[in-house]
Amino acid sequence: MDTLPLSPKGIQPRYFDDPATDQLLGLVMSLASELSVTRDRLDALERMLASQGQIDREALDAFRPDQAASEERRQARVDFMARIMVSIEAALDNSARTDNPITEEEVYRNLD
Amino acid sequence: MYQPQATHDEQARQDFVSAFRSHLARRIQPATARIYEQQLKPDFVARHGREPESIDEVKAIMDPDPGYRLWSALQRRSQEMMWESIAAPAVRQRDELITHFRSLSGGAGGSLELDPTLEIPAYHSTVDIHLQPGGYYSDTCPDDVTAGVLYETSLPIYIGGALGPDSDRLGSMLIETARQEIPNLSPRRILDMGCAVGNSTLPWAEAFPDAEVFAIDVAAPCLRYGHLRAEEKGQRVHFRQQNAERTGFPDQHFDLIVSHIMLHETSSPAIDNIMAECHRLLRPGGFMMHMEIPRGVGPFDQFMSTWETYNNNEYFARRITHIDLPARAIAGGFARDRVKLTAHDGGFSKAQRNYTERPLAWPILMGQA
Repeated sequence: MDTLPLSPKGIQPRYFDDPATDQLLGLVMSLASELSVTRDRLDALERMLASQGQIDREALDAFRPDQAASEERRQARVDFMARIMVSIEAALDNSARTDNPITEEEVYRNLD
Repeated sequence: MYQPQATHDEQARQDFVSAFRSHLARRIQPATARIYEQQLKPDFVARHGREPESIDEVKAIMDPDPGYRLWSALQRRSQEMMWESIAAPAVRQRDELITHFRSLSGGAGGSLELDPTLEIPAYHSTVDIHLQPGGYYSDTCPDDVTAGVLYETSLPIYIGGALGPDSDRLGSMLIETARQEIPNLSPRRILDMGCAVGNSTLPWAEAFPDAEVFAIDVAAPCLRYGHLRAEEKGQRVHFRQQNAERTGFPDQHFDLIVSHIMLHETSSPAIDNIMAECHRLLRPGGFMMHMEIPRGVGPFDQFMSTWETYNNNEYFARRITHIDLPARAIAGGFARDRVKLTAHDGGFSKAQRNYTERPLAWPILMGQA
């Protein structure tokens, strides 16, 4: 082998009934990653502009946030994850509830 | 500098994966645990009049659950994305790192001996463990170090930084336990089995500067990189490409043999061979200490701890939960009253534990020859 393989050797697990859903979830998370990367790059741009008044592409590729900026970015990623995962967390929270009516009949019992 | 330098965006991609995995560990996995506790387990109790008692019974009710499947899909994707984010800088700087490796002058006094004829055992070649593309052992060119670079870069992301900046915490943990368990510990010759890039080996070299420390693995690119890394860090370690089941060292050659989470990446026959080999290699009175992955308490935690089996190519991890390790050590030649299981509480945070909210105790199999 002269390059790394794109996929690891092994059984590819399926998580959803339609394999396309597995593919879509992979794609969505890649997009989320690229958005997060863009936000970090925007952060680097803003900091570079604020401190130097100009942008240097090479310096941008080599930009490393200092400790305070790293911590701000880390917290920003925590918030970012919470926002993009909120629908999933809400759905899981709903599944775990013990006070949910299970059928429509149960709902209407309190209405009719 | 022996590590690849990530560009701003490459680093940002790795940072995203860390944030993604931390979120899964802190928020999504606990939600699936609540579904089990509040819905699936009570349903099971209503049907059977008792709680689930085995990993298989928990698996049977968890596998079809949409919430568990969603978390699993996300957890799997985070592992794939980890390798994707790591591979780019490693591949781009491969030749530079190899040039650096070839120009090593051996300043720390360590050494490297590879054996191109060594057969890669089936437990490494059947599937790529942890989804690492190409596994630990594949070379993409002569003198390749890429697999070692990938392995080392993955560790802090995989375990949320729990192993420390040098990924050496497991070595320090095992040294702590060794000092507690073995009075006046001062080994002259130490062997670390299944060392990968030597990240857990280096604390031994540091703690026992007068000892001769050997580290073996079957994976050549990890050993080349481990040698480069150890020399750069100024630690004297002798890396050898050998299989722990049958090494080339003479009888009674070592005072202490250790391994750090190696056994669960081998096989049932390999464990028996390794125990017998440890017994052969230890001088009378010498010790072996094999640290293993925590397996959790109760069927739910134990089920979650086997997630990696089916979703992260760790098939033997499922098997090893049923293996009586002290019994295998005794079968390998150790006296019954000189074998025991102890544990080290790693003290990791929830964000560093992917599958459980409870503290983890890392089992350690000890044997004295």
